[in-house]
Amino acid sequence: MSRDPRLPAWLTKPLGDPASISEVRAVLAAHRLNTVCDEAKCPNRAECFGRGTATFMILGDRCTRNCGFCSVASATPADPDPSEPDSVAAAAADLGLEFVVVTSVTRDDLPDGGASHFARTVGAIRSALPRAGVEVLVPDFGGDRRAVDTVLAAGPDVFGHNVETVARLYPVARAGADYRRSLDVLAHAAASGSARVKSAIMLGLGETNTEIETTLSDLAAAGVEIVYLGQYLRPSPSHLPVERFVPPEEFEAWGSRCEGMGFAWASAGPFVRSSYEADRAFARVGERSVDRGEQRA
Amino acid sequence: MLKDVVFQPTDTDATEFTVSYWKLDPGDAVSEGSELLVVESVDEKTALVVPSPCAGVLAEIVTGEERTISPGDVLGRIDAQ
Repeated sequence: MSRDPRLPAWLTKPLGDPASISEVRAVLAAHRLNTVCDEAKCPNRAECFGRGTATFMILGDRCTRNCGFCSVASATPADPDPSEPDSVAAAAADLGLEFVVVTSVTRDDLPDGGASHFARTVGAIRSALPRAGVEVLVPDFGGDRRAVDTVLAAGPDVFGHNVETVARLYPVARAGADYRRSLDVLAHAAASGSARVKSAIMLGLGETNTEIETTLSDLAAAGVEIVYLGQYLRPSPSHLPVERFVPPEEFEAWGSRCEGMGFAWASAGPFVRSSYEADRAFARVGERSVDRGEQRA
Repeated sequence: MLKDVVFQPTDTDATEFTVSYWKLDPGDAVSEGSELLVVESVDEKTALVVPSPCAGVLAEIVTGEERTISPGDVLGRIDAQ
């Protein structure tokens, strides 16, 4: 007699071809870079690596926070590697990326939260790949608006910060973070008008539909234009349990709801992650070129 | 001729896997690419469908449900036709 699978049928993926990811692995190893794909044990990792893309994770592989949903190690981080921005740019060039996504651990130990390191990384990518789009997915920088400005001044096309979950679940899911603070980071970035602003939430942590609706309304009010919703999956038995596997049709309904709320782009599905197919979302939303005064092909 | 169904995950850095459930029984006919079984990573983040390497008949289930598996393990055998 078969036991019940832990994951529902809609969360299965086909076994891929090992050879398809070797190039990405080789480039990452050559430049000694981390990816959130690996650190977060992303279920889309093989698919994305197979497409020749990855999401770079800068500022080390140890985080100063300890969120209940996240598998990135919580420990005292090392000093930032000053060569990392150039390494990211070189790796992106080696992979021939046309859209580069960069995220990081949270660095509450750094005076600027790592904002200047983000800015240098965006700058290095711009130099190496002037025609590529750049998306940053940043921590909350402790709510420091100057840090947000530092990142925005580097000119990313997309400025992302994930609220991750609904306000009520912050104490268990995002200890050390603050829902209103994250909304303020997003609102401040949106008010600058210099980048498309993006956020994401996970479903399945125990939130109610009303709370999801409220969160989406808050994001829209903050000026977020791109929103992603995906299924939370527990990275280990010591992390927060999955309270519910949300069926694909519910995600589809949330996607439709988001479009009705005025978001320029919404991506919702069990395997949606904040940088999943980010290039396609950006292509659909279009580039805002008001600040740089140029339009890339 | 018997052909092994070998577990070869895309990413060898992946965590440990277990056999979740077989979708077919011995004696069932298969085509190349038919979905044979589902394996899950112990971190509960990944469930993968293992396809048949060839057309034929599922001759044998070598690795049963809830068994832990490693890359290179033989999961079953297909009587290739």
